Amino acid sequence: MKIDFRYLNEEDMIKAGVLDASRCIETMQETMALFGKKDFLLGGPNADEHGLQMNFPAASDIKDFPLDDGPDRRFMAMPAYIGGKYHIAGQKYYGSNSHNAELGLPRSILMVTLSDVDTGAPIAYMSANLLSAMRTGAMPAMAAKYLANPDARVLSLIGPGVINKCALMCYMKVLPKIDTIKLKGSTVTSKTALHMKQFIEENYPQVKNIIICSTLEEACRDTDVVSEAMSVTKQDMEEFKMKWFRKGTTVFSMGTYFSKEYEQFLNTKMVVDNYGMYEKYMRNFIARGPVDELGRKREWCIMGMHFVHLVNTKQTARETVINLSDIVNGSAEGRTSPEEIVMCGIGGMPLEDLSWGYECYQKAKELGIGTELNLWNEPYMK
Amino acid sequence: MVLSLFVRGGFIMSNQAIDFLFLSEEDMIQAGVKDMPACIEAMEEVIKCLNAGDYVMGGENHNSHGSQVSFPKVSPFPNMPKDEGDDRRFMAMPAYIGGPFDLMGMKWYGSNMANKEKGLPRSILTVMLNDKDTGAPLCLMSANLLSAYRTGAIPGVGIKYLANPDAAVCGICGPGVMGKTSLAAILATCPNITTVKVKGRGKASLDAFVAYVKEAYPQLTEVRAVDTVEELVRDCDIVSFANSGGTDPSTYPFVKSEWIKPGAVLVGLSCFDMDSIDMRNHCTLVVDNLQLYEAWEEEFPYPSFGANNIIGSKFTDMAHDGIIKKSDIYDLGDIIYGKKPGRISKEQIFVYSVGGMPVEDVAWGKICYENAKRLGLGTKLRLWNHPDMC
Repeated sequence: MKIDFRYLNEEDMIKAGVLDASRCIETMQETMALFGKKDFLLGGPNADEHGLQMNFPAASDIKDFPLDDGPDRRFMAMPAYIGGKYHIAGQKYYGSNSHNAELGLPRSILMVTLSDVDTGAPIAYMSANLLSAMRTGAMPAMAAKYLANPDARVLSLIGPGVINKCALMCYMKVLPKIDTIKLKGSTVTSKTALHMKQFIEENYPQVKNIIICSTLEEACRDTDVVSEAMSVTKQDMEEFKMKWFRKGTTVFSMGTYFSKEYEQFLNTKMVVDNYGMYEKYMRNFIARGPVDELGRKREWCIMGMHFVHLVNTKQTARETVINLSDIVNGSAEGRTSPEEIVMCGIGGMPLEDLSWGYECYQKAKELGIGTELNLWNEPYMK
Repeated sequence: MVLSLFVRGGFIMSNQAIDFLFLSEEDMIQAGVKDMPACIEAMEEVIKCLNAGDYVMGGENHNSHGSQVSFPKVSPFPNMPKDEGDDRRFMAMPAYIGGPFDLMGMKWYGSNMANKEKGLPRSILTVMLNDKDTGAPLCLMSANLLSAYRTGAIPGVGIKYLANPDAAVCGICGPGVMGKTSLAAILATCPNITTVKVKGRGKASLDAFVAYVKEAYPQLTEVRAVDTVEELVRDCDIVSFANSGGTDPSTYPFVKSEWIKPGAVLVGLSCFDMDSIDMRNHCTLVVDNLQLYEAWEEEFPYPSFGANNIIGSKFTDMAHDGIIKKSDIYDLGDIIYGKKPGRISKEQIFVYSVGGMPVEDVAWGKICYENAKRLGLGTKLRLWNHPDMC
């Protein structure tokens, strides 16, 4: 049996609508609905893996061995199946290296494969930089419909890179009253922050104030929605303080959220995209031990892990940490008062890449976009 | 993609365009994916890299075989694939391998026995190769033959070091793709083989296998199918278990030591079983990479054998039970480097477990990719002229 599949490069993906924020938000809503119904599978013995990560050592005696020499240096393979109207298997695979910036390349270079659920044959192989950034940005925006105050006016983008750029495109679809945006980059003169400022000015005339903040505290105070998507090394992590957030703030964390005031979370509504995923992170964290290979004390810095810590140490009941999917499916409540502070950790799952990848692939097929590739006319060995 | 080289040289390239190569199965054949002696040579380099620690695989322990999507036995969703005991799964297997290879890659496949009815192989595999620094794709390749040949070649490396040089009789359990490629590796390593026996479950596949072997290797004097595991194992110098099997060890081919010819090597590419005490008393146990089995022990806690159907997981279970010591399990790399003895007598029996690792796919993939570039094969694909967001 002949197998052909479609290759979609980045330009093809743009033509196929990968940057369509409204459709991506809808797709994330459907993805979370299917997650809540358990119509999906992830990797690992408990089918709850974010993905299989490959890290490099801090030092090696072997010449030219890849080293862990910057934030987010890793390769990651993220296989999954998602059911419902998608009914597709596949995986996202990427390499990430902050030094890519010196080459004019994105920090991560990502590809997604869609595979036939039954035969395993490739259906599509696609550039996934924009796909991944959009689905990552669309998740908090979709969640904001349930969790943010609808009259939110001030949005803080912490880490104004690709993820928050896509998140911004999505927030602007669901929070029509945003008129002030605060940006926090690595420094006040950070190029990414300036690029983001320009992007907002060009695309969102309704935004009257764009403030580049010099401290994390400044970015977190007097705001309605915080969107964190930072890439930092452990040594450079700055601690978030709960007292910075005013009543009614909604905080989304997609990257690094370092805090030691765990008990402060008990006064907030705690929401995650997949509780089991953070339980697994915590098990891995504990298994690795209290210090790293260079003897430094290790700290976890993922919002969902703070919640798991509170549950594991019996400071709160498991039920107080809500899966976003239960809110989407109506079995748990979103925001219940204008005053409550909502903390929402979104680590991301390959399910989102598959559903959004599938939508883009369908569009590409419809529009005749992409390059047809032939795996074989007839397999050599059966 | 040569960007990283330029950076080491101190230049910054302004060209952000990324191109990569697609190699279909036909391209891979032209690129030499079926060159078994070259593949065995490459796999020997891989085993050395593994022993020297010059590699990284996934997971906390850096030794994960891969991330597997398994299907449930029952599901309320009619479209959800079901696990019907037929080895159905998807698997993503990332790895970096150093030494002469020095690059990153990942194998991805889906596996379903029902593919056969559609005229497709049970598994459909692709391998991606990447720049180890930028992560940029270098090559996407059809990996059915790649995977089959590297899987066969690893036993070839073991047999080179473990088998008696006058080995004449070879048995293959499972007349499938792995059976063919492991036979190819055995014949490439042991020039004195005259007889091949094969055991399978279906007459049609057995007949086809016998016909294939007779045609491909006219130097053989005898090629025949046998009915039982005992007939397969008796009088054999080398037995390769290349059958497929599920998670229940009671369904695996079971071998008794009294059947095994003194001096034989039993290769477990897939599942077979022996009594623990019997195996300890009569066999030397060798694995392709001990750390892989330790990683499996973490992923599938004791008893690991079954959940993972490779005999090496039985070795770690035996160590867990105190039947053997961990140090009784030999790493093939230790034998190649002379840190541990290989064969010390003509009568010594080896059980050699082959787990399969993505480092092997990346290594053989790299060589095929280099050949393809040299020969101008494949389809050049552009990822982007300039990344849209950076």
